Amino acid sequence: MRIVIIGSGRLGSRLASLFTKRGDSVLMVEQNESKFMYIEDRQGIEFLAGNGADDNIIRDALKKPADIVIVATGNDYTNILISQKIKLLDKTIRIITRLFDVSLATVYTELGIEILCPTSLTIDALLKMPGIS
Amino acid sequence: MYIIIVGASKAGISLTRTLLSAGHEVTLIDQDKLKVSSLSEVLGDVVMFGNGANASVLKAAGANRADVIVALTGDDSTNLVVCQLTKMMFMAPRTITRVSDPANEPLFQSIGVDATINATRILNYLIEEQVHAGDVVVPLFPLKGGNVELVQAEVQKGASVVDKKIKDLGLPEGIIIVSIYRGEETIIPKGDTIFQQDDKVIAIVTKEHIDKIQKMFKSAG
Repeated sequence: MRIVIIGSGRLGSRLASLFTKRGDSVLMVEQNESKFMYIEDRQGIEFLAGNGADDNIIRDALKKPADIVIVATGNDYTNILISQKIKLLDKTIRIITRLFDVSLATVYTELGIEILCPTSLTIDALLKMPGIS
Repeated sequence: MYIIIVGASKAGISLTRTLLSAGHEVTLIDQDKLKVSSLSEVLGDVVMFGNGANASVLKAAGANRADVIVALTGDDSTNLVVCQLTKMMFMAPRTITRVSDPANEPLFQSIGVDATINATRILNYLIEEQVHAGDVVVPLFPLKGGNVELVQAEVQKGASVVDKKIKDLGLPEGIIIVSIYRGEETIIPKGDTIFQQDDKVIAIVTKEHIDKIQKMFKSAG
């Protein structure tokens, strides 16, 4: 698979290493180049320096057709903007967007965007822990 | 009207003042506590502390009964969320937003924001207007992302349209004559309206027909 990851924070960088080891082709988009250099297992990860909300960067990132785009910058609003811009450019691509804010996650899920909400996932996991449920 | 403004930017503050003095009810929301407290001293209860891109803050501001919500933060993503939340949670209000990056405008239009204001684009148009001052056709306002324009043109002496009926001009679909100013008179044109020299014509024109309308109203010489 070809996977584009926008944002090389804790989630993005881990995923990039995992997918690369699994044999997928990964492109990481990150505007802070030094952040990318600190990814431990960055071997084999393609890197594109730039702002993921910029039209030209999005086009560059999707030059090679991707199967999945994971939008995981540290800012919910930025992620919302980026994922919808990509959707506007390419209706067929699968876009997974990380949002911390649960109420935003609810609204944007309703709008048909595939959302991954760490806050909800943590709550769900916590409620299933022994002694809590 | 009741208007909620998100973002106490210079534009936000100035718009708040203008609307208040025009007798409207306004709430100005900003998440900068210092800014809010100093503005409150001048504007009073109008200013509210909170994140305007948060549905509960918008609700507390009275988004349910608002007529218009204006997103004027300096950040396009925040403005986008304000507009989308408004559209999703509070069905009625109109949304108006500032867009800093012109490349983001198509996205705002695709989600149904009622009006986007782009300072860069407006400046470009004003400059362009100066550049084209010698031309017959003056762009007044770009519509729908700039593909269609509202223009003003003057019928010059000996132009090909003089003494002709509109219906005989064979206008393409991309040109609509909206109104004609003749001296003090305003004419809403019909097919048999006849152009005269010195008429001022307001028209809606698609980009590719600007040259054509330029030729139509220019003096034959």
